[in-house]
Amino acid sequence: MKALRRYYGAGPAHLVGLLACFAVAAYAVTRVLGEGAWVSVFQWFVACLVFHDFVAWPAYTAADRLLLRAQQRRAGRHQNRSLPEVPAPARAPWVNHVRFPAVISAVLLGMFFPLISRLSRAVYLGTTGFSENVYLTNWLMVTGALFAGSALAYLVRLGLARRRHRREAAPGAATHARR
Amino acid sequence: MARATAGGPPDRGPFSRWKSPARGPWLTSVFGLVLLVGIPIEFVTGLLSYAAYDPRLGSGPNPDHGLFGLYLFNWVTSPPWLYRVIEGTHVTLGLVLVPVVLAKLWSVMPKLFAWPPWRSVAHFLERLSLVLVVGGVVFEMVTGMLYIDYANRTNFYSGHFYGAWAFMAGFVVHVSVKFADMVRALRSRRLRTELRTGLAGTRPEPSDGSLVAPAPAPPTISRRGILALVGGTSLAVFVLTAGQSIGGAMRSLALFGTHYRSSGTGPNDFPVNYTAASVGITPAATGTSWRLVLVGARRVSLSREQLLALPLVTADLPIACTEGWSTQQRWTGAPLAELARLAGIKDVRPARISALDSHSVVLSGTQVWARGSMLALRVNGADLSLDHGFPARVIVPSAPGAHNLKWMSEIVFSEPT
Repeated sequence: MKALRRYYGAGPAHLVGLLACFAVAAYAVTRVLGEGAWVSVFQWFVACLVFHDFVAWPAYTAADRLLLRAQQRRAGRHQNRSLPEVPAPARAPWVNHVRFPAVISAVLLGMFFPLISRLSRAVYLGTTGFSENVYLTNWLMVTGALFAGSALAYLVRLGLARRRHRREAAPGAATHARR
Repeated sequence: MARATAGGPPDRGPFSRWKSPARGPWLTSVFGLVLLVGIPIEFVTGLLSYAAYDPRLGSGPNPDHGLFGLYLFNWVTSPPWLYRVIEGTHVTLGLVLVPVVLAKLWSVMPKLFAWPPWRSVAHFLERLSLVLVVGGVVFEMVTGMLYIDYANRTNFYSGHFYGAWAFMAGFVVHVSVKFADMVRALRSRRLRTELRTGLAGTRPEPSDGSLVAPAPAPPTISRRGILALVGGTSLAVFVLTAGQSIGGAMRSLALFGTHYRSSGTGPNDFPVNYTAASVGITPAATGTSWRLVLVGARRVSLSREQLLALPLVTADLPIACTEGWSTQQRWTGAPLAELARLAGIKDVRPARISALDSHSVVLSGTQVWARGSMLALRVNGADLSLDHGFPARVIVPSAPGAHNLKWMSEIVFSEPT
């Protein structure tokens, strides 16, 4: 038991569990090998892994970094101009008001790409009796609504922050003055 | 071995530029917990959906299941909405979980580049099993989404089915290895406190030497913000797809479902699966010369008028597609059991049903003799339209839509069990 821990690095249950796991996976592989077009199944498996880890993830990370840099640049410009009437809380960070609609819209695009790009238009028409053209419009409409809603929420937040700031800065605000 | 020394930062090797202040064991565990509930539901509903095709009868897709088919059982016909609920849950929940899976993968990304790549044989095997978990979950999501949207359907049934088993093998090991860590991380913070903490109060989770960045950048989003973003994305997916399974007023909201539109409000204006034109069914083939042939102890040929003269039944039953969409309608037709009797069949046995478009399916004896199983001739009080299978289509309670053949031509009651 001690030797196992030393040379393997974990207890016997760990080893047995992993061997069982690989046995089930290997059996699944042998079943797929019996299929006509098994190569395409494995291609999809590898393509999915590679696409997520080395295409999708770096892409959205880079996009988010650009967005953050844009926000920092704008914040910096505000500071340089040093507008006394617009304090930090009133310049509520807008980055999340872009992130929210952008993430939802991008995930919808990724998930329903076959419909939006009309990848399956012939089968779609035969199956449903309708044209597949409508999904691009649907996606643009949903995206527009998301960005509009998010912009509206930002304006409300900004308005509230400015009003709070004005009230606090007003000379008649005795409670604040005393504090 | 280069390990963390007391006080100093842990050695992370060449890939240590992780900056996100949001990553941490608590956040990862929240996503993990959601998936720990959701993925077993996906697996079970998937297995049940496969069982509903009863591949043992030899006519379903992917009949060659090997040991993975040991659990198969005689598919039930009651309650009639069972398949509709199972498949609607499988597809809708699967779609709703996609944003959670993406968030979970994002949250553990530093582990992919962990250094050293392995610390022991055990650790190496564990990481190898993660190929099954990550590759498996993305593979299952992608094949599922391509299938329901009618793009790349080759090998869907076998790929999605065997892929699910390989994925679950890795999933079970992953959960076993990580469960204690997940519980500990979940207990490290209170959800209610997190939900009350805005951006100003957000601090990175205490360093755990792997997920938490060694020198995190200032937070730009709170943890509750991330939960709202992921939950909001899932909610958007739900609202924009679930209506095609739930029906009613929600159907028209399913802007990314394949069956959210209808051509009008008439008795036949409900969603179609394969139009008559797409499979080459012409009015000529379904005209007055059409006959339904029954083969049993004797051979009977019936016109539509003769079928309408039989004692008919009416029932509210769904058609539910493997793609997840479904719709319930009021069908009127001749019971399949009555047709079996006409063909001289007295005992419960399977039947092969065939259609003019050369589709053919074997129904189990239970399905043929079930209450509600019928050869439907009318729907919602009107004759079936050509797109809905005129002159006659089969409706079996709680069966996959693919078993409700349209444009029926023949029923053979002599298939061996």
